[in-house]
Amino acid sequence: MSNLGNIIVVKNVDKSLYRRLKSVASLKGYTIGEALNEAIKLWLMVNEVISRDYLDYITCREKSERTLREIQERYDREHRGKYVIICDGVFKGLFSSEKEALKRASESKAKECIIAKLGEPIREEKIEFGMGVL
Amino acid sequence: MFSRLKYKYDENVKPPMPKIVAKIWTPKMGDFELELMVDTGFSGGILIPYHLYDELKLTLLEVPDKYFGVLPVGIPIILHTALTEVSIGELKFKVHVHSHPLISKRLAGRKLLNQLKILLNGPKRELEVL
Repeated sequence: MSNLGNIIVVKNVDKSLYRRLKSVASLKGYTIGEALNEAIKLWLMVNEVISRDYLDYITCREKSERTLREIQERYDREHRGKYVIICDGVFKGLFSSEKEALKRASESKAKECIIAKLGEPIREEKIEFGMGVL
Repeated sequence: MFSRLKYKYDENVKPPMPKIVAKIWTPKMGDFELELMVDTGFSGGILIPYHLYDELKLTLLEVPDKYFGVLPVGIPIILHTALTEVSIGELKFKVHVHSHPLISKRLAGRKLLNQLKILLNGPKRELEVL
């Protein structure tokens, strides 16, 4: 790679990837330089930020989601309105109030906990971001 | 009588940007003060970087619901979301705090802002909670 002032020459760039980049950038109204800057920024964020700890957390969250589905199948009708805590995939108990559940979860030594109200469906919501989110 | 809360705009951003200070309740530190940029383009409550979300142990207060979004660069992401209490002066609300490793900003979005009466005093570069 060589740097001629503002011009950087990079060897071994995959030509078909470059063609795709050029075509998508042009469709979206970006220059190649702008598109490459965004791509480099994203690559750095992914590689600098996503750590082993984060992957452990994701694994724990997935386990907790599986356990929550089992608990909902088993207790949803019988204990409707009560709060359940699941930490790192382990069922920690049922609580009558949200305050009590929050207190118990916040004292946990686990990596992550889900607090859910039995009888309520799991919702999905799309969040809008402004341009300055990154 | 209540004194009105006033926060100076962030002058490091061009043009200057309104910001607000909120205290969020966290398992690690109790009340934790956060300076948040006011962003009406963000539809959620509060957005913070993942390293802070993890450090404050908000991972212990997560909701079962799924929140997803698309970054301006076109990447879809699933947000990590905790429900906690937020105070702004004397006002208290239950607010969702969202996070993801690809997010670096601290933002107050519409779900929080819509609970407040806010005056954006541009000429004085000051946000006032009425």
